[in-house]
Amino acid sequence: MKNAQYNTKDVKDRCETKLGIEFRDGKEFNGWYTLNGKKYSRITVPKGKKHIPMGTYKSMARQLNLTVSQFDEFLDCPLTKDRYNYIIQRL
Amino acid sequence: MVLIASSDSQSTISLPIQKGDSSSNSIGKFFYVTDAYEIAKPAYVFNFGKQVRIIDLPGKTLSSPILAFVRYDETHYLAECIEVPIYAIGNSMKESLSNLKEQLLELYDELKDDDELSDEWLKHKSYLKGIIK
Repeated sequence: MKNAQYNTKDVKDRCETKLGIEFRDGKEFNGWYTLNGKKYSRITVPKGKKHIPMGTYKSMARQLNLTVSQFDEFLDCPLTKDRYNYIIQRL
Repeated sequence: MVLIASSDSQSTISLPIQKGDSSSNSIGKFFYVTDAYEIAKPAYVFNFGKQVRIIDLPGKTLSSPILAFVRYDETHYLAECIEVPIYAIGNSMKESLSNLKEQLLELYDELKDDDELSDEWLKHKSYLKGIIK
């Protein structure tokens, strides 16, 4: 688990740049991942540039329907959008 | 003896409860009953976290409780819904649950008129529409 390497802003940035998620401003950022017009995942990211504790990191992974190691990959960059699409369509 | 407390130890409250609603168990654990949530299982069940039944949402009625799980997560409290993949954080258990309720309401509003959802989210929508009135 690479929660110590990334902060909440990193997660938000990755979601925006890699998945094209548009976050809605509120108490926390919430955004939907849409594929072929359908909403597949909804992720919540706390505001600011904060450390992500392990439990919260796991919750974010769960929201994206990813395992923790897949979420690590996603943040590290090897997990491409195409591979993400493949993962969520197998659900 | 029945122990009843709110999520914050400094604001322990007493509520009238019926016999059998809540009690210390055989190893001395107890669960909580507040006006908003009930802790359903002793803390040791989930790595010192607590399973909670959310029994009301602001401005809405619940036909059955929504299960959540709350625990301390390094720097804050993390409340997660068990049936639906949402979570919220807060500086206290109570705040995290309050934020989770807001998340639930927000999600309910987002889903109620939307059918462009994956199968998984259609199930979540159906679940929420079935219990939130």
